[in-house]
Amino acid sequence: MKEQDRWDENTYHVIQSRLKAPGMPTFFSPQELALLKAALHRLLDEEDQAIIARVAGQIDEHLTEKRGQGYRKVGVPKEEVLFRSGLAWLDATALQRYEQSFLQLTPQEKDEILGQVQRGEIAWTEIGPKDFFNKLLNTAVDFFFSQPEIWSEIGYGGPAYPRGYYRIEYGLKDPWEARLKPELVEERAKAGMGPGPVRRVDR
Amino acid sequence: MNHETGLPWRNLNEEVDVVIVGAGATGPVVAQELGRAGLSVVLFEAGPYWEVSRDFVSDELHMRKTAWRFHRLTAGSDAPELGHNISGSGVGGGTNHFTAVVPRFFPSDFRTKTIDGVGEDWPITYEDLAPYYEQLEKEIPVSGPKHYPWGGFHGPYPYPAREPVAATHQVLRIGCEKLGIQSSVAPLAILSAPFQGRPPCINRGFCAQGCLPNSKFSTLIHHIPRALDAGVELRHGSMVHRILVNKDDRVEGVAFLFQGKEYRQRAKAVVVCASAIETPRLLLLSADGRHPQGLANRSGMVGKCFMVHSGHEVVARFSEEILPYKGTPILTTTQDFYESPGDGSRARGFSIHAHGSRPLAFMKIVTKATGAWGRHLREMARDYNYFARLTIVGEVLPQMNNTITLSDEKDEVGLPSPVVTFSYGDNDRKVIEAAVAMCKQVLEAAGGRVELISPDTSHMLGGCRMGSNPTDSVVDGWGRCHDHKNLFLADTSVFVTSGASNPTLTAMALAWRTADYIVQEFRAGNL
Repeated sequence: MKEQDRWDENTYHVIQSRLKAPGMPTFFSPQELALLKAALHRLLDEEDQAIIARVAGQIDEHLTEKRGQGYRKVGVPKEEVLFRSGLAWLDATALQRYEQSFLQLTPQEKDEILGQVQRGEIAWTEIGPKDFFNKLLNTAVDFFFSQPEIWSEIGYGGPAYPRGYYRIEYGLKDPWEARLKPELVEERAKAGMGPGPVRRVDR
Repeated sequence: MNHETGLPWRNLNEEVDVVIVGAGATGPVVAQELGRAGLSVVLFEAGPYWEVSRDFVSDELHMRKTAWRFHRLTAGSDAPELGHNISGSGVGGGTNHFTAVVPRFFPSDFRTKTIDGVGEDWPITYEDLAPYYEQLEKEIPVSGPKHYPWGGFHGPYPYPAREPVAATHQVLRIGCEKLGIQSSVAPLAILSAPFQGRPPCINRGFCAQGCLPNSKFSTLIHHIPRALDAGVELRHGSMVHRILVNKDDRVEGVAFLFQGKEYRQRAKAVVVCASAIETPRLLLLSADGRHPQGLANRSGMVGKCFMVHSGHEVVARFSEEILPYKGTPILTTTQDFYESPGDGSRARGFSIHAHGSRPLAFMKIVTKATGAWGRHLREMARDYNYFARLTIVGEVLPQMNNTITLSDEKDEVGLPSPVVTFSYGDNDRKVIEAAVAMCKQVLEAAGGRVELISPDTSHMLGGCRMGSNPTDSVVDGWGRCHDHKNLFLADTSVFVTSGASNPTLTAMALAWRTADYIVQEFRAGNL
């Protein structure tokens, strides 16, 4: 993000508009939007409510404008139906099991239901739980990993036009690219998050 | 502007020489050649007319708008994903977002029945296409190695190879070297040096999102301006939905939809360049009382033998940063396993490309391969920069039960949606298995640990195959429909077999050859 002054104007505007706080939902009802946000919070393991709200708002916009993906499998409902019906079933499942809305459940309880939905261990009518889960997860991932803060977090260099990349081979970085702190690398490795115990590349 | 109708078209009330349907990879090539030969040509495109500096940005999500978005259905035990990487919309079509990998097909691709006992032989040979490959490589132009190790053409390519290659592509090179496998810089329609005002590539990496510097070839920036200069009339935003045919089975023109209203354009000949889904669909949509099975379909072969390429992704983690977003998506390749191995374990083979990744493409593989969400998803994402990916282009054999048909459901403009039915055959699965195993070996030899394997497909081929026998094919070796002497097909729908190479250059070479034939037929007074 700190490099945004170097982006071309059109890219800059597209990314800037993605950072705007969402307005009122037009596809989802307020209740549906609350359920969507609760599910996104767990699926994306993201505590920042502002980012979750943006992702939810952008999914709402996507469904309102029927941008779609242009195809679906025979027998799988349209994505508008999957989202609306799936969120209702998610809440119904929570009510049935815990006599509480999905919104009121503990994170563990939410994750348990989501896991069963992913594995198709729950019987719903009209839509398949797995179809709903896959649509929800894939859509969530698309919009979440299009947020510039997340690019910074994963070390994605971001849009590089008109500047481009010139030092592209192993071990090389362009002068403006972020350098890793060696301590951080070690810390991540210890926490099992960093690069695994693999051999160095012999080049 | 047409002064009689107030509509933005010149030739609406006249009978033009040729109507071309589709301005993707092949339509503009045909348009350029026919226009230069002095024929009057109208080129139709259902999608918008993209303007690079106005419409293209460096963003994966935003640029999905260049995909075909009209509604389609998929079916079969391996129903393919028809997303952004498969079909384009708008002038330039898929060339706006392809990775620009342009190898030629191998000579053996045209004779798999004779050589390997599978598929069918094409009615033409590699030698028939070779001059067109050569012309295209010069014209686009193609950057590639001085010596290309495989197939019927060993270089040198007109422009120097794209060197150096990024770390994500060095991985393939290092792995192959360790295993004693040949690898090469891929032949790319991406500039390594300036060409006619276009600059060389800056490794921005967004080839699949539309090239902003115009270093990557597309028909939008190359053939379209030349076709317009040659007097071709382009009608974008116009969806051709019916080919009109008279009592003598001569095609008379097309009907098309523009802003919800139907118009007609008369023509002496029609060339359909609309893709392996939309070309058979248009022939089926054109059914009438005399052709209840659709046009060009006496054989019953329209929509049959549809193929994709298997495109499995194999991703490994490395201990050093790979930075997979740097460099054009594909820079290195091996075609060492392209043809049938001697041991009889399977017929035909695969190519392996090193493939860079922007975040959405990478995360899609993560979720598909692992189903990860929550903490696990974020941990994988945090290590994004340590992963390198190989992608296969696996040959898929033609099968009668892989089809394009029409659904009862309607798309956004009210036309029956196409249904794409696809299942792999036994041999296709053996090719995938061998290819994935080889990707793993290469990645491990380069020092990586394979963590993700995700199924995928790429490219759409077949559905209106060529052949010399009118009872089991749709077009002859020139792309001319057996049933209608002035109807031609010129796109990947005419492919007889899939090969294991990215198909764009072959489709363009076939289209150019068909264009030359059409010009010849006009000059001989046959059209």
